[in-house]
Amino acid sequence: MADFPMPVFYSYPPYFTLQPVKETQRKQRESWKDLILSYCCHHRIFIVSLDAAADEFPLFENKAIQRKLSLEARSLLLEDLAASGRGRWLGPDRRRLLVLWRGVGEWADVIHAWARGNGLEDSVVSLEELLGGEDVRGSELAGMPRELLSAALRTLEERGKARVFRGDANDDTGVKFFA
Amino acid sequence: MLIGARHLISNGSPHLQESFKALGDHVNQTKLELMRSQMAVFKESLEQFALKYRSDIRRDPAFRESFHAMCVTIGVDPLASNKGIWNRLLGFGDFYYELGVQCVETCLVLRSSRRRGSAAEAVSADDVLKSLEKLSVLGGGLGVVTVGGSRYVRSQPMELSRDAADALDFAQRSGGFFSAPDLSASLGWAPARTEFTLQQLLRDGLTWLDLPPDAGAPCLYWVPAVGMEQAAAAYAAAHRLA
Amino acid sequence: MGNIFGGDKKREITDVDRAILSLKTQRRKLDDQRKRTDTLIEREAVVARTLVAQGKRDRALLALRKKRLHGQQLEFLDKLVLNVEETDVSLEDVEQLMSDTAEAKEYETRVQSMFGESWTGVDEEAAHAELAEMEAQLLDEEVLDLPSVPQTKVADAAAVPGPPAQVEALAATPREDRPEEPLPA
Repeated sequence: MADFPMPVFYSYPPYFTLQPVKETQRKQRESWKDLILSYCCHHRIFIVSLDAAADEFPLFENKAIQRKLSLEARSLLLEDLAASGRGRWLGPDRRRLLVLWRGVGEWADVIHAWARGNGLEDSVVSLEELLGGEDVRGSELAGMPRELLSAALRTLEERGKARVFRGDANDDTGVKFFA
Repeated sequence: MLIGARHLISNGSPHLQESFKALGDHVNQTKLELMRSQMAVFKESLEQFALKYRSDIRRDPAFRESFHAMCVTIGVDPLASNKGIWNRLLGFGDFYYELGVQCVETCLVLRSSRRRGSAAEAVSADDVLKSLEKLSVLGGGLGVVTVGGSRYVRSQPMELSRDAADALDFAQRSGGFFSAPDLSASLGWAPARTEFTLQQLLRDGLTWLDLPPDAGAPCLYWVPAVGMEQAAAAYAAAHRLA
Repeated sequence: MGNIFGGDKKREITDVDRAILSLKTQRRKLDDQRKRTDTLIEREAVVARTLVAQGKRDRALLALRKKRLHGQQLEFLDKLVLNVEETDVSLEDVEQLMSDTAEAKEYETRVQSMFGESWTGVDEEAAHAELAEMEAQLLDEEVLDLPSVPQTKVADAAAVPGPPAQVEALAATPREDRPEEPLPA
């Protein structure tokens, strides 16, 4: 995978200290927000967890300058993403965030385009297939977490481009795509 | 014919007066039209010149400066409008607008990650100053400030106290960052004075706080305006980091 | 493909759609079941081999019987999966498949209960043959290891390195209480 070019501020130590002056902090958080989004987009990371180890999600620590963001700072940054509609909390305890480097509406378009590309209009597909089936591997849908998939499918439904349904109680959830 | 005309006008009949007035208007009109056509010729020559030397004007800041001077002499301002022929010919409107925007953005310290790129056109200090002049019509305290030995672009209105200016100067001499004890020692200030000045600089957004990982070490103050990349590199070197 | 007549005519979920979804669900569940059974078969084989090495023939035979049962279930599942893949979208076929699946579920419950009772479902001959094969294999391995050819056919229990304690313990616990993860090879 091509290297992700880090912005200059990532090597600038003060950026890893939550700034005490309000206006300065605002600028700091704005920069981090942009970085988190582009970093996750580049690496196709969907979920950021406050409990993740540094090697799972290394962005919040820069070993080269021996600085890392405090838990409080990370929490605020994720909160910023959620507040601006670029993220959704998973679970009530606000420790895991679904990062929307692509909006739900855009994901809906992506799914529909994928369905069209695979000749699946007026076809039925199960949710499990969309999560891990053969046609999904290597496509734009690969790795999508369940929560994101569900949200995007609901949007497609609202647009009349798909219907989500259950068969009987034992069946997986199904999706029918329309042209 | 004309010699008698004046005599005729002042002593002549109303009808004649009207006729002469009409003639006068006509002459003025003709003069105006003549001037207009002369200007048009001028303008066309200038446009042709601009078109012919377009790439030079874009490429060479010194040539560009001379070209501007020439325009000013004729009374043409190629930066006046974003639309219109000059923009089409030289693409100038955008150039200066963009340069100005880039300057302002550079001021907003956190955007200093945006570079102009090596492929962008060469820019002279004159270009920067010119675009800033254009931006100054927007108000907002934009302008150029001289601190210590360097000129800085100021993006917000502020008054720098003497102490604050001295502290910034020290920052520049120290590679962009320092601790409170460093500042006190170098400028011979009492701790309270140092503290007060640092708080002021933090509040004004000129200085950022940095808590080092070692809890025992003093916290550091960084001045982004001095230059972020160099400062970060100096820090890494000083602490022998990767 | 504009819908000039309006309405939801084109956006309905038909019975055929539901049937297809059911098929896909069945197939996924069968696939999952297949993977689980594969794992069980592997595990029983390992247990059996270890028991044979320890000279515990009866226990080994038990493991092999279980392995065969799993294998039979696997064959059945394979047939079902094949059915699901080849099936046409006709309601009658689907209904047939449903009843087949119901049969399969019945079979499974029967198999579960069987472990506590008699072994009439298992091909006893085959199980014994497999045991003999394992013992022979073990003997071959020993022949390669020892510097001299042994005089007797039956392996001396003391000469065989004991299995890790956890394997022995595992082999001794009843099936239901065993942990899920497969044994180290």
